[in-house]
This record gives sequence, structure tokens and C-alpha cells, in this order.
Amino acid sequence: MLKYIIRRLLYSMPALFISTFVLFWAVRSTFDPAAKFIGSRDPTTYARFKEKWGLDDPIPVQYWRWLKNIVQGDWGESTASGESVWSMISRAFGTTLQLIFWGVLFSAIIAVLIGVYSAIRQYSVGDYVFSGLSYLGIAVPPFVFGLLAIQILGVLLGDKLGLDGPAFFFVGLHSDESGVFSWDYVRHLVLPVLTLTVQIVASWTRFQRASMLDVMSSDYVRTARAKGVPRRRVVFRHAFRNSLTPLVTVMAVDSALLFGGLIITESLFSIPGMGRLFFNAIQTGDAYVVMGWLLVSGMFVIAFNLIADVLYAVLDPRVRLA
Amino acid sequence: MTSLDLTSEEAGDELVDQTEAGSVTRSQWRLFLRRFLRHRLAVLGVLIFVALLVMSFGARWVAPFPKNAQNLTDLTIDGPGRDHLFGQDELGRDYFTEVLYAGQISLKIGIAVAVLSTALGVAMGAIAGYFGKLADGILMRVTDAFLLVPSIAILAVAFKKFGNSDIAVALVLTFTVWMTVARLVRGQVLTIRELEFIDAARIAGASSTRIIVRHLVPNMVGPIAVNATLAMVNAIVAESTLSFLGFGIQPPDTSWGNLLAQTRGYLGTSKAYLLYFPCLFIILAVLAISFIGDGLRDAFDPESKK
Amino acid sequence: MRGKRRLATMMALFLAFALIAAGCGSDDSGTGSDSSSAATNGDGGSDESTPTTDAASDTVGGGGTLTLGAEQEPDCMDWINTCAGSSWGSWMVNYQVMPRAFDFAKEGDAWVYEPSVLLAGEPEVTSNPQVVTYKLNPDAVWDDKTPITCKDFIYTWEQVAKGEDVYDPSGYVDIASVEATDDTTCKVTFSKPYAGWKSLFGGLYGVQPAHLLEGKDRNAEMKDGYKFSGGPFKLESWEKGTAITLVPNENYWGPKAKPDKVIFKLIPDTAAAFQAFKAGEVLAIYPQPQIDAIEQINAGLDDVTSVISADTGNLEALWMNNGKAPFDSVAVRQAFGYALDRDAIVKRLFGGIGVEAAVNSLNPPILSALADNAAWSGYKLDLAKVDELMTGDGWAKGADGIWAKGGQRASIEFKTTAGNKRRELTQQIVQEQAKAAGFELTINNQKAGDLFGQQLPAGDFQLALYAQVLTNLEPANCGLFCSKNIPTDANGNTGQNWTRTNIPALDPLLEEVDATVDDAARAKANKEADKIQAENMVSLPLDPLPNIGLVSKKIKGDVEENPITSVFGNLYQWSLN
Repeated sequence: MLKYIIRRLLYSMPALFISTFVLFWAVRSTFDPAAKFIGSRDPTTYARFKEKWGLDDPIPVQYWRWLKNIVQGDWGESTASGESVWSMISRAFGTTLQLIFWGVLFSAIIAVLIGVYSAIRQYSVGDYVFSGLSYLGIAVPPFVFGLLAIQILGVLLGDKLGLDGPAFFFVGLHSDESGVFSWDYVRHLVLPVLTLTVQIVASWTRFQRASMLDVMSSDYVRTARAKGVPRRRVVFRHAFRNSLTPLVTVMAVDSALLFGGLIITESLFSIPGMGRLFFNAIQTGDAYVVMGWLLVSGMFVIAFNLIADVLYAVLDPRVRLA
Repeated sequence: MTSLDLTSEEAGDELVDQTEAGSVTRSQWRLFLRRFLRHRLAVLGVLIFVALLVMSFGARWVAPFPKNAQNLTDLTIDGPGRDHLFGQDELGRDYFTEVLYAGQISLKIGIAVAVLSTALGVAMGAIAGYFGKLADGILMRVTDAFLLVPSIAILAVAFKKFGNSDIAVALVLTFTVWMTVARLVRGQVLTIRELEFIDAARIAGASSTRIIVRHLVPNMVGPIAVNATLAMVNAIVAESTLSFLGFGIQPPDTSWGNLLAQTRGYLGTSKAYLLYFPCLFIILAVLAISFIGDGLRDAFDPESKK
Repeated sequence: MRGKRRLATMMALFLAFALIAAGCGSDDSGTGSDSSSAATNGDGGSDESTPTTDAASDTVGGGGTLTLGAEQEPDCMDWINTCAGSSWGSWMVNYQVMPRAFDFAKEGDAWVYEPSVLLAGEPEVTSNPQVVTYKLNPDAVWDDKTPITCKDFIYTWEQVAKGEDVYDPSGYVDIASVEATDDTTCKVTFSKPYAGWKSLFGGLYGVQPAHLLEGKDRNAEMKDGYKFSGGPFKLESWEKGTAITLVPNENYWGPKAKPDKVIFKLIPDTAAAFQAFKAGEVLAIYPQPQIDAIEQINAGLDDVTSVISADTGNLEALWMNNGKAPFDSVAVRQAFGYALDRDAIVKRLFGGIGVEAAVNSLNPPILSALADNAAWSGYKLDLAKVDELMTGDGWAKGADGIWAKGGQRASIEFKTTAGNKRRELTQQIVQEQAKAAGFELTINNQKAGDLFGQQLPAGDFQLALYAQVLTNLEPANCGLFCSKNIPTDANGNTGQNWTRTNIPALDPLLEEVDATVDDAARAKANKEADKIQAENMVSLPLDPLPNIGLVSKKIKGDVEENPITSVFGNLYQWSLN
């Protein structure tokens, strides 16, 4: 097992290396972080900025410099604000993690409940309703859903209840700066987490339904039924547990992708997370922030993929890692 | 979705049913068609999709007004009603007409992404899966790297370099989705490769290309077709998301996604219909294509219905 | 057994995840995006609206916590540095915490400078050489009770005139010396006459505290926010990407701030910002005058004070590149002026908020006292005039209805800031109208940063739609239209005359405007310049880009729109009680 993990990690190093280099090259050759100084009144500003960041060096040289620093634990600084990349990323990461945690938690619960229900009540009205809803979840663009949620659950509901403010908040994660877990925090979380959940729950539900159907038609379930084990017992003792394995792996892989993929949710709900950090950085050619971001999100993608495979092996004894 | 080492095993389970049936024959196509037609939602999907295609690409004949017919003198704007089915937009243009024309670009992008990503993914996956070892190693590392680089990065760079034409949007979206197909195909090829009839073909002296084209590809048509519908759905929705981020189709060109992103500020006002109608068309298109995808899956792989 | 193990594994995983999530409690980061109406002109100078009166303002605070919406945040808070230059940064922080010599006030119909509480009265001015003697208010202190003295003026001047990476040193570089005659008297001697002297020691930069910054790296001290203050508020915190929080400066010598706390929340998505305002999550917003914003206002906002003003420091125009065909020909430029019905365009865009007439001067509305406000009024839709001018210039209409001359069609590339819906719609109206007159416009929009940072300075455009924004009350047209300010190597390509206007008769007039301290003579020269610019049709003014301030009725206190300091100009008077 350990050998397998090490080998997998070694395999992913080239991918990480290639992707950082390609991205660095792409960003540096496309965006000029000094561009905003071209028109400045002090004509030397532009040159001084380029000099300071070594922007005139060949791109591979700049990349090498970054690589050398990162190996020594120096993440560099943002060319836009001069802030340390490490502190920018750790701040944004914590924020995004909160969203992902709650989003994945609720999505998982909902996906399992609906998936299992739809599988054991296949072709029932409920099954059709849920699958219709999951199609809608895929079809409505996330930002439209988010805005509708804001409009209905934020603005209109607050009005209906005669509240002073919105029923659920949608600006940031806290009303003031305090970062504690509180009722206020929950009221801020509901809408962004709902928006995020709708984005991911549809496919997970369909996945869980298929997986549950698969298990239900497997030989050992049939055997158990034939032996006279009650249906309820078969479903929940045997089929249900085994059907979770594929979903868990899919969840692990998808969750990793969420670390950088929450741009819409973060923009709509004014949450300064990883997605927005990256989005702003890439447009201003802030290459070191982009690199730092890629390292973190890349490592998560690799790690979660690995976790997915390991989990698969742990949960399903038929699979052996090699 | 899962990583490489497992896809092959998973895929193997699914595929046995198909491959046992042997190569594709005419009677099988008829069987396939019958199964597809029995899927009522899929048939409905086809009807809706065809209707959307006809209305959008035939907008010159279907639309009640010419494209971009602004009303420069009368500054009042009508809501949806008898004169203007979907109302008028900010410049007094007939919104039904504008939405139909916008569909051209959205659908074009959807179809292009489905076709291109399938072609690229199948080619890459098949080569990797069939030739194994070195080719496989390189190609899979490349797809891994692509999976790590966020699509937004590719978009930002590509749009700065190549502009925001519909072709650029389609190409960029293709580059962000082809890996899924590649992995799927590779997994399937790895499984099928070991099956007997391929050995038979090889012994009979068939070339590699011939084996790939004649034997491997037809056996994977099902999952690939289903995947293509998924890619199309994703492309149509992603196109609107791109517009929200400012990377999509640029005015004066229009697509459903860009109409949607541009009118989102009207939520809660009397002009909210400007947001709802393009959204409705996106939903219609996505549902139709998804139903078709479902129908295809069931028709290609009746066992999965159970 | 196996089931239990699996459950345990999952529980462990879940727990680990929960711990990580809980461990990262705080939120923020991200940076603001570019303004759509960039290109600030002119010098420093300006500030908050009239203090004085208001009896209740002796006590600090008591007004509750005000949560307000902000569209952008500044890149940095070192206002002198090139990294600043964000209107939102000035509105939220700079104007609230930095002391300055002059305020802006409305006198009758006109916006004028008024000595602020920092001064003991109107400064004395003598000419030849120009010497301005400021008498400082002896009560004026920084928040640590150190008096604000001439030393701070000297420090500010040195930093701006002699520093590196200065956002805009205009005016300060014309100062020969700043001397302290005594603690509260400050004598500023200019090396050449500078008409806009009231904009100095205020506005964009404010007066910097010498006792805190002298000998230190000013940029490092200030760029991420600073605690000192010489205004009604001081900065409590700047959570990047999230919020800027102000609290009252208890030692402010002027009218004290009423709010206990002001939180500006950064809401980058404008659609979300409107909903947040409607829901009461933020109590005030200052949105761009987009069509959807106007629609939201017309849809009815309950209990809202909306201040809409067309009397702004903004001028949105169709800027023509006078150095590039076909707009290098006066006749073509004039013909284009007769091709459009500008009033109809403005009515279509802003009719919903009562702004219905095009601007007819290249000076923004707040400078109307100095401008010929009817200079462009002759340019009305008149296709016969278009034909006459174009044929006179040797053009003939081709089979496609587009003018052509010597094989060259009158096809014009039309740029604006991508993603600005109002401008994109404006373009489409202009495109239709121009087509009817025989001009083919092809729309090619750019990200704001590329347009303002590269293409316009490099002259890489034919026709562009954007706004000039004044940050003080000084005419800035020499900067924009004097031939010496065409970007060239000679001026380090920092010239702002992007339209490449080069009219010999215009230069001396505009230079006179910049160097004439006498108001009447200055106005005469500026009006004359307007007329010449209109005759030569250097560009086509369009609209005043109305300012829209929306404030909940929950907020008591004067709510008014100040064209320079924004609707937040008298934030210190706002209160929930």
C-alpha cells in the first residue's frame, strides 16, 4: 500500500511540474503585470517595476527562480500588492474550505438520501420528480440560480417575514469581522452553500442512484433475497453500504476540483476565497499568486485522487492496488 | 471521474455486455433504434432539440422581425405581449427575434465542443490505450497536467491572445473537457484490447489503425455518444458562466449565455423577462440534450436499465 | 465487520475535514478590479462637503454601525503612489481620514472651493511670483494630538514633487519652496503661476503627517492601511477583499463623526449589490449609472433617499483619434458630428432618471461656469450636412451605402471597455445611426486595463467611448488637448492627449487656462478653447454620466451627492438615530 502511494505521488510530480511551467509561461507571455504603469506620470515607474521583479529576464529563468525559491519554502510576493503569496493563499484557502466543507457535507447527505430512495423506488413518481430536479440543477447556470436564491430567499423572504434585513445574508460570511461560529455565520452560509450544493448534488445523486441500482441487481443481493432475508434488511444492511463506495471516490475527486472552482459562488456572495483570488490574479498577470494557487489546488487534486483510489481499495476488498 | 487505474476496471464491468454481442451489425442498429424510440423522454428531447435548431438557424425566416431592428424614435419599451412575444429589449428590439438569433452561437458552440472534444479525446485515449507503455505514459501525464491547470486559466490566456469569437470559445471549452473522454476511451481500450476478437484480428494480420478504427471504436460508440451529449450540455451552460465572468461572447454578438449575464441586474424589476427568456432556452436545450443522452445510454446498453 | 471498518474510516475522514475547516475561521483577500471609467485628469485637490453648522456634532459617535456597499477596493492606500488612483479608495478612506486645505461646496449652481477646517481662513495670494500664504487652524491636530503644522505641508510637497512613482505630481513640481513662517503660517512660493493651486495640499493626497512618516518608507507605512488620521474618521481595519472599517477620530477638531462604526463591504457583483441594498444588508450603495441600476430605481425602492445628479465631474464622449484616418480630416469629424442624434442617445440611456440632453462642451458639468456650454449644440442630426461635408472632402458613397475615398471605405473601429453594458448598448445605437449616415462602425471592445493602459496611449484606436473623470474643480483640457501632451518619447509617453489633437490656435488658450490665477480671464480663455475645439470637432461629447447615490431612509443626516467626494462625502453626519 505504502509503496503504491509513493509511486503514485512520484508519478504525479511530472504533471505538477509540467502544469506549473506551462501556466507560468502562458501567464508571463500573455499578461504584463507592469502594464498598469505604462501610462503613469512618472515615466521611470514602468522600467523600475520591471527591473524590481526581473520581468525582462527570459521566462525559463524567471521560472527557475520561482522554482528555486519554492523549494526553499519561499512562495514569493504578489506583483500587484506586494503582499506575501503565502498569506494571501492561506487566508483565501480558509474561506473556501468553509464553503467546500458545508457544501460537500450537504451534497453528500442529499445525494445519498435521494439516490437511495430513487433506486429502491425506481420509476416511482418520486424518482421522476427527483431526476427532473437534478436535470434542472444541471441546466440552470449557477449564477442565475444564485441570484434567484438571493432574490427569493434573501430579499423577498425577509420582506414577507417583516424582517429588518434579509432572511439569509448574502454578503460575505460574517456581518462584522469576527470569525466565530454563530447564528450570524449560519445565516450567511445558507445561500452560498445552497448555490454550491445545487451545482454538485445533481450529478452525485444520479451517480448514487446508478450505483445503488447496480448493487441491488448484484448476485449476492439476489441470493440474500432468495434466502429469505427481508427486503428492508437487504437494502440497508448490504446493498446500501456497498453502494456508497463509488460515490465516496467520486466525491473525493470532485471536492478537490472545488478548491479552485468556486469563482461564481464567491463572486456572487462577496466571499474572498481561492476562486476569486485566482481569477483576479490571472487577469493582472500576478504570476506568483497564480503559481502558489496552482501548487495548492494541484496538490489537492493529486491528493484527493489518491485518497479516492485508496478509499476504493479500503472500502471494496475486491479491488487491489498495484 | 475516477482516476486512471480504476477506470479500466469499472469500465470493464460495463462493457462486457456489449462486447459479448460481438461487432455491430445492421440488425443491431434497428434494435438500437427501437429501444431509443421506446424511451419517450428521449424522443421528446429530439423533437425539442430539432425545434431549437430550426428556430435558431432558420431565424431569418422564423423570427418576426429582422435582427437588431432598433427603435430609434419610440423610447417606450413593451413587455411580453401580442406585438412582441418576449417583449422588447433596452433598445426596442424584438426580444424573441434576438433570443432566436442568440441561439445560433450557443448551439454552434455546444455542437462544436461535443464534436471536437469527442474527436480529440477518442484519438488521444485510443492511442494511449492501444499502444500502451510510452505513448500511454506521456499522454496520460499530459491529460493529468491538463486536469491540474484550471480551465479559467486556459480561458483567460486564450481570450487575451485570440479574442472572444465563437470559435475561440468553442476551442477553449474543448480544451477544458477533452480529458474526460480521453480517459474513458483509454480505459475501455485497455479492457477491450485483451478480449479475444482483437487477438483474432491481430492474428489475421490487421494493422493497428485498422484494429482501432474497425474494432475498438465501434465497440465504444455507446459511452462516447453519451459522453458527447454531456459535453454539449456542459458547453452550453459553461458558455453562460463564461459570459458572467466576462470571458464569453462579446456584444454586439449575442448568445443565450451573454444575454443572460448581461441582463442579470434586472432581477426584481419589470424587465426581469429579459433574464428569464434566454434562461428558459438554455434550460430547454440542456434538458433536451440530456434526455437524448439518457435515451442513447439505454439504447446502447439495455442492461444498465435493469 | 467490514461495514464497521468502512464507517470508521469515513468518520475519521469526515472529522479530519471538519477540523481543518474549523481551524480556518477567518475570511478575506482578493483584489478589486479595474474601474470602467479610468483616466483621471489633472491635479490633486478637493475633499469633503461643507462642515460647519450642525450643532449636535460635538459628541463623537452614538450613531450606530453603518454597513455600506462598495463596488471596488483600492490596490493600496499610499495615495501618492501610482498604486493608488482608485476613486473608491478616495471616497471610502482618503477623504474620510486625511486633512486637506480646501473642501468642495455648492454655491448657487456652481461647485466651488471653500477653505476647510484645517485653515483659519482664505489664504493670501500674491502674484509675480505667485505666493500663497496658508494660515493653519491652531486647533488642527492629528489623532495623536500632534498639531498639524507647516512641517506636514513641507513633507507632503517634498514627497510629491521629488518622490518616485508618484501618481501625479502636477502643481507640486511648480512649487519653488514651502516655508514655515511660524507654526501655523505656511508660505508656498511657486516657480511659475499655477492656476489650480487650491487643489494642492488636499484632494488626491491630503496632507501627510511628517512626524510619523519623516525618514521612513512612506509606501511601506501606508500601502496596506494606516491608523493615523486628521479627518473625522480613522481606519480601523482593512480586510482585503472583504471590508474596510472606519471608526470616529475622537481627537478630530472639526465636526465630529456621528457613526460609531462604518463598514464598507466589498460587493464585486453589481447585481448582488442591488439585492443587498434592497434587502437592507447594506444601507447605501453608489452604483455606476448602468441601465439596470436605473431600472431598479424605477422599479421602486421603498424608504430610500436617492440622489441623482447630472452635475458631475464626469464627461463621457466619443473620443476620436485626430491623428489617424479617417478622423484626421476635420470634415469627416464634423460630418460624424452631424450623423448622430446625441440627445436621443442620452434620452435612451438616462431618460429614466431625467437626464435627457447631451453635453455640449468638453468640460464636465461641474466646470460649467468656466465652459462654453453650447459649443457643440450646432451638431444635430443632419444627413444633408453629412453629405455636403463628405462630398466636399472628396468622399463618395459606394454601392453598400458607405462613404469611400481613394479606395478607402469609411469603416471605423469603435472601442470601449468590455463588460460595461451601458457602453455596449450606446455603441450599438451609435453604430445604427452612423450606418444610416454612411459610416461603418465595427465594434472591438477591450478590457479596461488594456484600453486605458496601452491602446489609447499608443493611439491604437479610431473611435473610443469612455469617460474622463475630474477629481477636482480644475479644467484639465490642456492635459488632454495641448499638442505638447501627445504621447511621444519626449514626454516619456506619459502625455494624456490620446486623441492626438493638434491645433496651433488651441495650445496658447489652454496653457493660459492652466496659468491664469484670475478667474474671469481664465473662464474667458477656457470658453474660447471650447469653441475652437467644437469648430474642429476634436471629439464628440455625449453625456455627463450621472452619479447615483442610494441611501436607506434608516440613515438620518444630510444625504447629498458631491461630484468629487461622492455620496459618502458627509458620511460623518450620518446616523441611525
